[in-house]
Order: sequence, then structure tokens, then C-alpha cells
Amino acid sequence: MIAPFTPSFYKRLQQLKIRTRRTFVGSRQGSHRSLRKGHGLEFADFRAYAAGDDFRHIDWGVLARTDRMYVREFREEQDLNVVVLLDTSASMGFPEHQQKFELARSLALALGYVALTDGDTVTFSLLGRLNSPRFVGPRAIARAQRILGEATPGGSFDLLTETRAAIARQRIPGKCFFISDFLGDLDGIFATFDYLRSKNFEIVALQVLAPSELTLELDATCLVVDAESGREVELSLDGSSAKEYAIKLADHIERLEQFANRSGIDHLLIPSNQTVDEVVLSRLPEAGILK
Amino acid sequence: MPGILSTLSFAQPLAFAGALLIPLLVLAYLKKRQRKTRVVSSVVILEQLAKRRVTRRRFRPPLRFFLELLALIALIGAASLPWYRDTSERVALVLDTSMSMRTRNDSLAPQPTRFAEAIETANRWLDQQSSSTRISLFQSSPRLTALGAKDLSPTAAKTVLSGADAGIGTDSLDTALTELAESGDYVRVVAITDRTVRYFGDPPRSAADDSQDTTILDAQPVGQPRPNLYLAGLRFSESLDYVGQRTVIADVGLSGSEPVVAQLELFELGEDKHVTPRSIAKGRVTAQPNSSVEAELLLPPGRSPDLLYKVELSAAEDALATNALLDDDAGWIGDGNSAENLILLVSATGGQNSLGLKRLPGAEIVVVSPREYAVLRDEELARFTLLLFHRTAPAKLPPTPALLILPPEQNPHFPVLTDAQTPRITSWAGDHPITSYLRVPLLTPSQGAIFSVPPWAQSVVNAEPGCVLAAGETQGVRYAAVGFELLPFEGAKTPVTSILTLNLIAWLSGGGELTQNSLNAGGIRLEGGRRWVIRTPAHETVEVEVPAGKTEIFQAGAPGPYRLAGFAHGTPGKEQVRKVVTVNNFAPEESSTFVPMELSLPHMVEHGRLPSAGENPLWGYLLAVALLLLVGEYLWFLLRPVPEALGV
Repeated sequence: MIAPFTPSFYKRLQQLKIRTRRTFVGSRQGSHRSLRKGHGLEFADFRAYAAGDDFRHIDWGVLARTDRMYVREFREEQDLNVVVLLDTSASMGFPEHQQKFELARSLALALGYVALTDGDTVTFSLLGRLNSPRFVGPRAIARAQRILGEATPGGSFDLLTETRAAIARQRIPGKCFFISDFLGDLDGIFATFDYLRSKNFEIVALQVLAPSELTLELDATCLVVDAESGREVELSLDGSSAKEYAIKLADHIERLEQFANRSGIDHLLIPSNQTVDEVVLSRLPEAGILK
Repeated sequence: MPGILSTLSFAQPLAFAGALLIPLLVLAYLKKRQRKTRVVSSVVILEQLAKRRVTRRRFRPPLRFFLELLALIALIGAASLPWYRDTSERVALVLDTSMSMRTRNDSLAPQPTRFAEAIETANRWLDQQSSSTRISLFQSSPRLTALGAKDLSPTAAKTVLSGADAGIGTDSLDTALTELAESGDYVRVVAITDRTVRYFGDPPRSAADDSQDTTILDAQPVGQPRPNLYLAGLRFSESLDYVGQRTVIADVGLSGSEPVVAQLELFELGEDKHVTPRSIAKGRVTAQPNSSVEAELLLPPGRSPDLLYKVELSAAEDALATNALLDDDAGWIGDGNSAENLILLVSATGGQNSLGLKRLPGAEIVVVSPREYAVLRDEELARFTLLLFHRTAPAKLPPTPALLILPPEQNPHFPVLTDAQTPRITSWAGDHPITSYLRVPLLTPSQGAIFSVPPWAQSVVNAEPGCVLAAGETQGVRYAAVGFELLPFEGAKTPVTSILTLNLIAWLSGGGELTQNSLNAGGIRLEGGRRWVIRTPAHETVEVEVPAGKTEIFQAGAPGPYRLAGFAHGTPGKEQVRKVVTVNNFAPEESSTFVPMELSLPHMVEHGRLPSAGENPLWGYLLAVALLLLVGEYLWFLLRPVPEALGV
């Protein structure tokens, strides 16, 4: 179950809006600038009159000066197709009691609500589990909450395959929020991002990590088991291991970040001991992901 | 160190079984060292660290293991209750400083008195002690008092002894020795005395028993039997030969084997110190061995009742051979002075039985009801020499010597039994047949003796069969409780009170007899809230400031008249109280210098099994070490730096 948001938090979310760098074609009228020209308030261009054009769009001033008929075109404002990809693999459930998955799905819900209140279309994709229908309108948040609340982390899957399956249902591109710990093989992660980019999605990668993953907190001698692959590694740690771990982890995150920068992906590292309020109301706007 | 180890003992050696916990602690750390399995979200990062794997490692316990091991060892040690016995002997040396020790020896040089002989004996005895022996010196008279500091070396003890001197009072040596022996503080208690020493504790153990829980009670005798003339008492009387004239009756005693002719001289002292004593009468009497004879000295007519008189006694011939002690040859008597002894009678019957007491010379009786007594504070009670509870009993033991008179119908039990803390009868003031009959060693209230009245005592003691008597001393204060009527008074022709009552009162008040204007070699009671100026018989002036609410005792160092003037605080120069107290040396047991010593010592006195002052417990230190280690461990691991985290 997701901890219910407070009314004041909902009100704050209603004031937020998803920011995009690019312009997308929407499926219906909305609040985002669209590539599609037609009815709208924002002037886009002139073009020569063609049979069938609405007389009301003929620029009579140009006709009077040049004796040629031109019609004015307007940029339409359409909705944004928002896809929230939530990693539900077993790795999101470890380490136990550190609220990694809880924060991840709360973030998904909060982002979904921001989009729905702005008139956007939202699809929640619980990777390896299910894909929700396309939600429209704020009232759909209750169903979204139920779907997300019933999700539990577990199992193992190929990230690219599951992402392909989720995106296959999307007819138009849009904004994709990818929430995961991104602690797997980086090549696989990069391939997934590349696939999303190939589908013209603007990607935001939210990397949720537990404090005990940011800092090495293990016994001197222990056998660690990968929650997904079941791979076992025997560790013998000493005094310098903590520092070494910090360097390796920093390197992993830096490579992810470098790829993100090259590919126009927004990447944000979120410790799971931060609250959803703190992340959504403060960190995401600061990073330019919400406005 | 080996010496300490040889004296180390453990009260609970079974606690060493706790050492089995040590392997458990090691096992716990070994188990902790064993590999644990932890599921993590991903091993992508961690497997890069695993390349540093060590194939086999030695058991290298962390610092906290050693801290916990030491704490565990300390706790086991503390649980075994270790203690070590101080091997240096603690010895109490009790010096008899009563008046009899001033008895002159036959050959005056080099030891003129028994006390000088006692000092020499003590020094000789101290020379035989090892330097590690710790000596505590005590003097026996007038009460057991420490001389110098405790635990002196033999050399330091000799220095202290050089300043000691015999007094003029009596003592309670038996009490002192018994209490010291049973305290368990000393391995040996040695008395240097000229008198028979009795032990009133448990039956003595065999001297061959060298158990560590016993104290050896020993005595070093000094002095040889010497004949002595002494004054046993003085009193005024009407002359039988000259109508209307008064005489001074002197009781002359003789401790010896042959009759001795004694000379007596009566002096008039006058009211002021500057008046030279003037001889006004002389007499002669033949003293009989071990008894007393009365000598009558006629007072000239028309003498003021406020005058003081002195009687001097001397042997008619060969003074050194017939009169070994000079301090008991003079007595003082006066008239018209106030009484010195305040007695508080707490009576449930209104004090009608106190008529006899009120006729006692030298005693002033204050009668209160139990209800009035209940509101009196301890400071107010300290004004009284003695408390008498007649057919009533206090809720708690009073701070002043007390006699409880509880006849059977009022006396189902003694209400103060628990407070009395098992006091014991250890000595009695005199050898009257009744008190001889009542001398019950080790009589405790819980074991009260059944008082069966002998036929010859029924005329003076209104007792009923089955009454209980208990008496004793606790923390220096004496108490007695009797289960029969002690204050019968049936008119002017009967004795004011029984000899038993007088003896009990004398014993309770510490040996001082209640005689008119006279104290028997005791202390002079000084009431609080006054500055007292005391003029001694040697014409020295002593000032004593006594705070309000307290009472002090001025110890009379020599017999004779003491003139006292008490000034109230804040009004200098204005006298409030003026009185004369004569101090006499009427102590037949001290004057009986011809009685040969009877030594029933040494005794082996068993005392408690708990570690005494010579046994030093160690478990407290071990416990403290264990706690320090555990607290140190806790603080160390609480405050240690945490591994550096990634900045987010």
C-alpha cells in the first residue's frame, strides 16, 4: 500500500507541471505546445491558400497588398503522452526495510497526478508485471493508486525486453519517467535508454538507492547474493573496503550520468531516506523536470 | 605480593565456575567471524571488491573482545568475593587508669606507684611486639577512652604512654574488655591492671584454638597487695553527747590484714578560696581490716551551714607501710548547696510512689506524665542524670540512662526490646547480697532472668514471683528494666528506697553515688546555654562554654571543692548560677589495695564471621573495574567514526 498523500500535498502537486524540452504531438487538446498546426492561439506560419481551407483563416491584409491568398496557420496545444516506467524487479526490494520501492512508487504516483491534473495522458508500466490503461483526468488517480499499491517487487527480467513490451503499446512519443535503482549491467541499461530514444521519448531517469547501498554496511566476512540473478560473491572486507566501494559506486553512477548527458536524458540520484514531498516539490523542480 | 597472595581468600569460590563463560565468549566471536549470507539488490559493484579475497585468515579478535574478556574476568573475580587479611596484628592495649593505680609500691624507687609499674610493663610489652603490629591504646577510667590515634606503631604507642597518668575515678574495666574483645577489631586485647579482670561474654574457648575468628583476651598484672587506710564516707549528724551540736561522721576503712590506728583532723574551709583551712577538731580511731569504723568529729557550735569542711585521714605510725594510697585519705563535705542530680520520673500514676525518691539526698526529682514526656526533645532529656519510667515505657530508647519499672500487671513484655539491641549486664556497682544475687552474666532482654525473690530480700523489694529483670549497656548508655515494684515507700519510718534501687541508680548513672553536695570522683554536670567559670581545689580557673541545648561533663581531676559560676550568654558579668560541688574519692573497690589479683585470663573470645577491620574486601574494586571496562567499550563504539558515505 502507498501511504496516502495529504490534501496539502495534492494541492501543491496541482500547481506543478511537467516540463519538456521538445515538442510532441498529442492525441487531444491539452496544455502543451504541439507540432500540429491548426486551431490555436499561437501563430505559426503563412501558407498559400488551397482549396478547402477555411475562409476565416485567409489573411485579408496580405490578399489586399499582394493579390494572393494566404491563410494563417496556428500551433495547436495538445496533451502530453506521459509514460511512467517503474522497475518492480527484486532488486527494488533490497535492502529490506529501507523503503526503496515505497519511495519509487510514491514518486510514480505523484508524477502521474501532476500529469493528470495538467490534462495529460498517463500510462503506468510496472515492468515485468503489467501495463496500465491510458489514464486521462485527475479522477483516474484513484485507479492508478490502486494499481501501484498492489505492486510488490520481485522476480527478474530483462530490462530492454520489458521496456519494449511496455512501449509497444504507445502510439505517440512523449515523456518517459524511468524509476529504478539502475544497479544492473550498464550496457543493458544504455540499450534500454537507446530504445526509448529511438521511439522519440524524452527520458527522465530517477535512480533510487538505499543509504546502505550508498555506504558499504556489511560484515567483514560475508557471502552476498544478488537478489535477481542469485549470483553469489564472497567478500572479505577490510578497513579500506568502504572507501573502495564508494569509489566504485561513484564510477558506476558517473558512467550513467555521462551517458545521460550525451543522450539528452535527465538523471537524478535519489536516496530512499528522502521523502516524496522533498523529491517532488524541491529536487525535481530544481532539476528542471517539473515547473 | 606473595604475602598478599598467601592471605587472599574467597568467600564464594564456587563463583569461579563462571570461568566457563570465557570459552563461550570466544565461541561467540568465532561464530560472529563466520561467513554470513546477505541478499543485496545487486552485486555489480560488490564483485569488484571481492577480488581482494583472502583465502585463510587467523582469528584476530577486535578490541572489544579483549575489553569484554577483561570485564568478564573481573566480574567472575568480584562474584567470588575475594578479600585479603591484613597480616599485621591489631592489638588493643587497655591501661587501667583508675585511682587504685596510684597506690604506692612497697619500695618507692624505681616504680613509686602501680601506674608507673604499669607504664614500664606496657613499654616492656611494646618492645616485644613486631614493628608491624598496630596498637590502639585505651584508658579505662572514668570510661573507656582512646589514648592517641588508632593503629599506632609500638614506638609511637610508647610516646603516647609517656603522657598518660592515673586518675582518681573508678572504672568499668570488665565492660571495656568484654566490648573490645567482642568487637572483632583486634586479634588480642591486653589489659594492664592491678585488679581482677572478669569476662562477661560467652563461655571462653580453649586457648589452644587458634581460629582466626577469635580474639585473645589477656592481662598483665601489676602491683602487690598493700595495706591502705581510706575514707569511705562523710556525713553530718546530730551529736549524741552534746545536745544541739552537730558532728561530722567519717567512715574509715582499712584494706589490710592488721588493725591500724588512724588519725583524723577536721578543717574548716570557709566560703572563699583565700581563707586558709583552719583545724577545728581531731580524732583517733582504730581501723579494722576489711571493714569500716565510724569516727565522730565534733563541730564547734554556731558554724554557718554554708561552710565547707575537710576531713584528713592519716596513719598514726609508719605511713608508708600502713597507708599505700593517699588520694582516698581526704574528704569534703558541705551543707546548704543545691542538689546536683536531676532525675526525671515518668509516672503513669501521678508520681505518688516518688515520695521516697524525693527524700534521697542529692537528688532532685521532676515528675511528668507519659503524655508530657512524649513531647520532650533529646536535648531536654540530656539535662537529667537518670530517667525513671514507672509503670510506663517509652516508645523508643531514650538517650539518657533509664530505669523501667514495670510490675507484672503492666508488663506483658518489654516494649523497647528491639531498640535495646541486646544490652548485657557487665558490671555492678557494689557487692550487696541483692546485687550479688542479680549479677547475671550475659543477661539480655530476650533472655530475661526470672526473678525469684529470696526470703531475706522480701522486706526491701516488693517483688512478685516470675518477674523479669533485664539490664545492660548499649552505645555507652545504660538501661535496666525490672518487672517488680522498686519504689515502695510506706512512711517516714521506712527506708526511703531499697538498697537495690540505690544500686541500680548508681549503676545506671555510671558509678556516681547520689550523695548530698558531693560527687564521688565523677564528672561535674554543666548545663547548656552558659559560660561556666570553675575554680578547682588547686585554685586554678577553668572556663567552659556550653552551647544551648547541650550538657557537658567537666571531669574533676582531683578531689576537693569545685566552685562553679554559670553566666548566661549575652550578659557578661552577670552570674546566673553559683554553686559548690565537692568531689570525693569514696570508692571502696579502688581503695581495696590489699586484695590479691585473681587472673582468670586469658580467654579466647569468638566474634563474628564477617570480615572485620583487619580483613580487606576486594570485590568492590573488581566490580568497579568491570563496570569501567564495559562503559569504556560502550563509549568507544558509540563515538567511533562511521565509514565515509557518498555525498548525495
